Amino acid sequence: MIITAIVLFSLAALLGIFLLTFVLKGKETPKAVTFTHGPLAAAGLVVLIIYAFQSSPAPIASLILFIIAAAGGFVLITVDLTSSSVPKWLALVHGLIAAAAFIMLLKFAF
Amino acid sequence: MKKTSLWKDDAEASSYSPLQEDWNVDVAIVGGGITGLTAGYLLAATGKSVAVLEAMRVGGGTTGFSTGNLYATVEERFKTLKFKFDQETIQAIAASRSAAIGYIENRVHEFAIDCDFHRRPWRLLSETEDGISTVQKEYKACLDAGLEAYLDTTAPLPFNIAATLRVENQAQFNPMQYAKALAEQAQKAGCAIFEQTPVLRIKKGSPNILYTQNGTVTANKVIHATHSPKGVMAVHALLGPYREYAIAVKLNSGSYPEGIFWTINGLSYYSIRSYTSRSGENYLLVLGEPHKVGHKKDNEACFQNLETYIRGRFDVKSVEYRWSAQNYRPADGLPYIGCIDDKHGIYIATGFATDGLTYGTLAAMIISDLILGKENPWAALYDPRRHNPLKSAARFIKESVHVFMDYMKDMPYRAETKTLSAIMPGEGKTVEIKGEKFAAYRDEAGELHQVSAVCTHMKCIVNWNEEAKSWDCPCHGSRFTVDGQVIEGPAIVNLPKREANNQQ
Repeated sequence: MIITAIVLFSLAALLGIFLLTFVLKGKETPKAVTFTHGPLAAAGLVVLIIYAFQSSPAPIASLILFIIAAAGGFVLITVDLTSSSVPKWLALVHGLIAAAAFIMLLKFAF
Repeated sequence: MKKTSLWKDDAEASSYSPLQEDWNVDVAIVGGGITGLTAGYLLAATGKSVAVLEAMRVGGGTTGFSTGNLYATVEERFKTLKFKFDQETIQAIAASRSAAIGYIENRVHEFAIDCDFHRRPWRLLSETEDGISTVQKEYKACLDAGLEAYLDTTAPLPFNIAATLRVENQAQFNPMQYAKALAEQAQKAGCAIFEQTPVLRIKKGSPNILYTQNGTVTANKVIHATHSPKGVMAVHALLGPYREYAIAVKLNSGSYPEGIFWTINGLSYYSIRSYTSRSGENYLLVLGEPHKVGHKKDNEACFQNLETYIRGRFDVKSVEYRWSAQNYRPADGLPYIGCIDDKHGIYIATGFATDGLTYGTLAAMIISDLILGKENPWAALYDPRRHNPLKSAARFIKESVHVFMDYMKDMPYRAETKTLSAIMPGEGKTVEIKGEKFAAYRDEAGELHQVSAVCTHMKCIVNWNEEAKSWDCPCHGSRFTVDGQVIEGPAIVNLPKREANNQQ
């Protein structure tokens, strides 16, 4: 199950990096990628939560960071759809938190 | 053939000045169609200071492109609404819509408005045996709604009819002439009317501030009378934007049927009526061929289908006018009319489907009562903050899936063409250059008009509307000119002009 979560987060991360390049260049994000990145990350988070409930020890620190990143993701998509541009700092912070969570998950799993 | 509505062509041009200074009023109304003008008149007549801000000309939005039909029945059908709600609800709908028609009739008589207002029967007809049960069920529902309904086997039309539902005492008029006369009366009552004054931003507060190009309007209450409310609102998720097409033809026979005729022909529905212009010319109007905004590539075919349909049933001499119009279908079948924000005094009137002239008048009656603190018997029925999750689910899910799929078409590095040179004169295409999407139109003279292809409402990619030469957003129905100016829909901000600098 943790491998499934890692695979889902990996795919989400790749798309997230791709989206970040658009945000940093000040260009509109392609919404097909945005609406694939979010559900992939959400699916990974759901799998990780189920894993955390079923296993001991659980990757609690990674899970908490992923939840914070997910909250940031909701803010980002709301801002992206309703404002003229996404704040670059917010996209970077979201990405860094998710990256930290992902690294911690990898360390936990391997 | 004229590419405009018969109504707009058969009414004098209005001439209200644009807003040029700052104003402070009790109520600001965004939109000068039948909803905004009726509300403006009603509120000004009671002593409120009111300003109507119209982006184009009064009645120049949806009102001037409508059918001119006024009826107590609804596009959604009473049978469907009775199943979703109950008998009491459809009785209230019929009563409220009848009251709105009565209100219009009273104003026509009170102000001697020359708008060809006539009481006429409304008919729902099935051309084939398949549609008989639909007509019969709607007949029973109309009786349940308290309407004077009859079931016939004939109708005053020159083609075969399998079954007819007739509801007496409905009405028809010229909506543009009525809107213009109402604007005059509203102004006489003290309502300020500004044309060519698009609202560029609404800053909520106490009071609210509406920004336009040359002045601001400060108001305690704001009415969005723009068909679809302006800006990002949750109600947009409950609306499905659709376009319909209309043609006005002349007949060889000179025999024009009187009344409102809604025909069912297999899976297609058409609305037929006659109109005599002020110069005494007769026309037969046929409307139909609906589709979701921005979802039909070859929408010129819609006019051809209408012409084929009407030529198959009448001895058509010539097609004189053609136009298209937009409507918003509500999730649970009832429009959203009333206050959505008590704190800031924000009112909306939307989700009228194709029944907008009657619902627009009703909306103005309800909202003005709410603002004046009067009890209105139908305010709760149409309250935009009502919660009908089960009744709304089917259309909400359908429209949400449409919106999601439209977003998913926004793939990186993909558009209709990669080069501007691929766009021929008269064509509009989305172009993707260096990760940015442009909406580019080359006019007949060869000049390129380039704007961003990202809708300023909620960032869907706009689609080209071949018939209207406009950029239409498939998600929530915002429409823009080839130079990016907002025509209608929830978008407030124009599409920014862009230069792709790619002539390959």
